[in-house]
Amino acid sequence: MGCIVRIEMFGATDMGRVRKNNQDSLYFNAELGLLIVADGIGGRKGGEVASSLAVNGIKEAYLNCESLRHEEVEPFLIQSIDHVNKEIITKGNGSSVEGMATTLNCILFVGEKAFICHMGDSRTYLYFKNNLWQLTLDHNVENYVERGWLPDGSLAANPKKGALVRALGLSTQCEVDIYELRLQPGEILLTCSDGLTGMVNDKKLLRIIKEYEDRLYELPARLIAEANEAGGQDNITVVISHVARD
Amino acid sequence: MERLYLIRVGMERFLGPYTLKQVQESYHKMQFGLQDEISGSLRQWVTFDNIEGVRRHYPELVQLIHSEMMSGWGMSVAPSPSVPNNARMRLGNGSTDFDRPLQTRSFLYLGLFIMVLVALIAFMSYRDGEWVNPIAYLKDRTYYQAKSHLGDRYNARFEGFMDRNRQDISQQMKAKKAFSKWIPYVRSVAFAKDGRWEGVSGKRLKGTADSYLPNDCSVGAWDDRWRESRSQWLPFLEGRILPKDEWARLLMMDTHWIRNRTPMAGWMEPGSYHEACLRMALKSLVKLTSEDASSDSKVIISRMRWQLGGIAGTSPSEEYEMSGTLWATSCLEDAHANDDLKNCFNSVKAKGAWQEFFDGMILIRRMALLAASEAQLSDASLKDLHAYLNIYAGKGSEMFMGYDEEIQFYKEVVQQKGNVKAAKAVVQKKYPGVHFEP
Repeated sequence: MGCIVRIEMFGATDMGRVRKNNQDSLYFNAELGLLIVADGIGGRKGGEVASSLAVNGIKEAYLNCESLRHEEVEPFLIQSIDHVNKEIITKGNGSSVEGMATTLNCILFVGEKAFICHMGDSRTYLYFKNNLWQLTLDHNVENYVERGWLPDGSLAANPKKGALVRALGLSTQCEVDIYELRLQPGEILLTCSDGLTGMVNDKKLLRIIKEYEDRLYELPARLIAEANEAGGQDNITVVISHVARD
Repeated sequence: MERLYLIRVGMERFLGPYTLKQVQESYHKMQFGLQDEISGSLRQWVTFDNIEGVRRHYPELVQLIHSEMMSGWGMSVAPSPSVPNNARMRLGNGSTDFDRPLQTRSFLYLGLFIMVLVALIAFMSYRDGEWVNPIAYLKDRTYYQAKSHLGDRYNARFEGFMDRNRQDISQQMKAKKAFSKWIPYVRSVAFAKDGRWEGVSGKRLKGTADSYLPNDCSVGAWDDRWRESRSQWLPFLEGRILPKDEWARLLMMDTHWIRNRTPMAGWMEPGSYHEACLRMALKSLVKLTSEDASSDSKVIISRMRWQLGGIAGTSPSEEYEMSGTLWATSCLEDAHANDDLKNCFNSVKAKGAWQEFFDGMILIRRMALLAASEAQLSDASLKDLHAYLNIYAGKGSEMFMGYDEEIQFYKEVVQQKGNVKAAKAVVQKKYPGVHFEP
C-alpha cells in the first residue's frame, strides 16, 4: 500500500483579545517535516520562556540529527523532550521564572508516517472526508479521573477540572505520549493551542475546515479570527498540515 | 458523509480512518483487540470491552463485538466435524462374515456418510457467528436467510431479499411469534423506502411508540400533512402559534430524548419510530420543495436534518439555516453550558404556549447539564438541581414528551447527595433502555 505523500504546512499565532503577551510558541517547516506548538502555562511566570525553550530545544535537536528511520523516531523524541524538560527546570531554578512550564505538541513526518508527541492540553486533530477526530488526549485532572488514572476524589480536591497533570517543566519525570499515524492523501492535521479549542467547539472546527479545504493557506487566520470573535480569552496558535499526493 | 472510524491501539498508534467494513477486516487481521479504543467523527473514544459504552455510542459495532471479538480470535467458521473414535472402534469390532474388500468399502462409505452428515448439520447449525438449531433453521429458512443477508448493517442485498419475499413474510407475520421476530426487519425496509409494508398496517409498524406520533408515518401521509399545514408554517416559526398537529410536534421533538432511548425495542435501523417518522417527513418535504422553495420550508427541512443528525450522534451542519422558534429549539438542544441557554432567545420573542414550551425545555436542559457537569455535585449545584425539580413539579409538565425517567434520575441525584455515578447506577437498573446522557 505504498503511496508517496507530500506535506504542506500553514500556521499562525495570535495574542488573542485578553492577554497582554503571547505565551505560545510555534515552529513549522514542511520541507523538514516538523512542526512544534507549545503553550506556556498561564498563571505561571515565564510561560513564554518555557514555550520558547521547548520549541527551540526540539528544533535544534532535530536539525542536529542527520537522519531518522522509523524505529529511531520514538527514542529520539523521548530523549529530546527529556532534555528540554530538564533545561526548563534548570533555567527556572532560583530565577524569576521558577516554576515555568509549557504544553507541547509536535509532529514529525517521516516517510508515510506522522509521529505525534504530546504533553498537556494543546491538541492535534485529524480531518478526513468531512470527519474530525481529536487524536491527543488532554492531560488534565478531569480526563485522568474519567479513565481511572486518578482517584475519584481528585476532582473534588481540585476546583479546576482542566488543571494539567502533565506538562514540560512540571516534574523531572517527564512522560510524553507518542502516537504513530500512517498517512494517506487528503488527510489534514490541525495542531493548536487551547486558545482555539477553548473558544471554538469541535463541530464548528469541522465546519470551518470543510469550508476551507480547498484554500488551506487561509485556514489558520480564519480559525484565529473565529476564536477572537468568540472572545479570544487566550493566546491562539494554529498549524495545519495537509497530506498531499506527491 | 461517509461514516468513518479511527482506532487507537495501545495509546501508541492509530488505525484508519476506516469504514465499518474495514474495521471488521482490520479486526480479522488481528490489528487491534478488546482493550483498544474506537471513535467516530466528533464522537467519544470508547474501548471495545466497554460494552455499555459501545452500545450507547456505537450500536452499529455491538454485533461485531458480540459475535466475533467476545467469542475468541478468528472464530469465523465452524470447527471441522470428525467421526468420534468410539464409532470407528465399534465398526472395527463388528462381524467378519463379509469378505474383506467389501467390508472395508462399506466402512469407508459409512464413515464418509457420517462425516457428510455431521458436516451438513454443522453447516446448517452455524449461521452468521451463532449456532442455530438445524430444525428451527429448516422450519424458518427465510428468516435466517434474511438475517444472513443483513449482516452487520442494512444493505441492498438484504433489501432485495426482503422485497422478493414480501408476500411470504407478511403471511408469516400473522402469527404473533413470527411477528415480533420479523417486525424489526420489516420496519427497516419500510422506512428505508416510503414508510409502508403491504400487509402490515401503519399502526402495527408504529408499535407502542408515543401517542403524539401519527399512526401513519409514510411519505404519502406526510405529503398530505405538509400540504395542509402550509399556511401555518410562518406563524409557527415566528412563535405566533403553536399548533398541536403532528407536523408541529415532530419538529419540536427533543433529539436528546430520542437518542437516549435509541435503539428502542423492536427497532434496528432506524432505531425508533421517532427517527422513522422524521426520515419520512423529511423525504416528503424535500420532494415537495422545488428549487424556488420559500425560506420557511428550508428552515423546516434544516430542522429535520438537524434532528436526524442529533439522533445519529453526528454533527449536523444545518443549524445556521434555521431561524425563529426552530432555531431556538435547536439552540437549546445544542447548549453545552447554562450560559449558552440565554443566547438562544436573541432572535425570538416567545409568548403563550411557546413560552411555556421553552420554559419546560430550559428546565430540562438545565437539569441535564447540571447532572453532567461533575461526578460529584457541589452543594451549590445540588441546591440548584433541587430548586429546578421543585419548579418542574410545581409547574406541571408543559412538554408533550415524557421525561419521567430523567426526572427520576435527577431526584436520585438529590437523594444520593450529588453522587451522579451512584444515582445513575440506581436508575439504570430500573430503566435499562434509557441512557442518562445530557
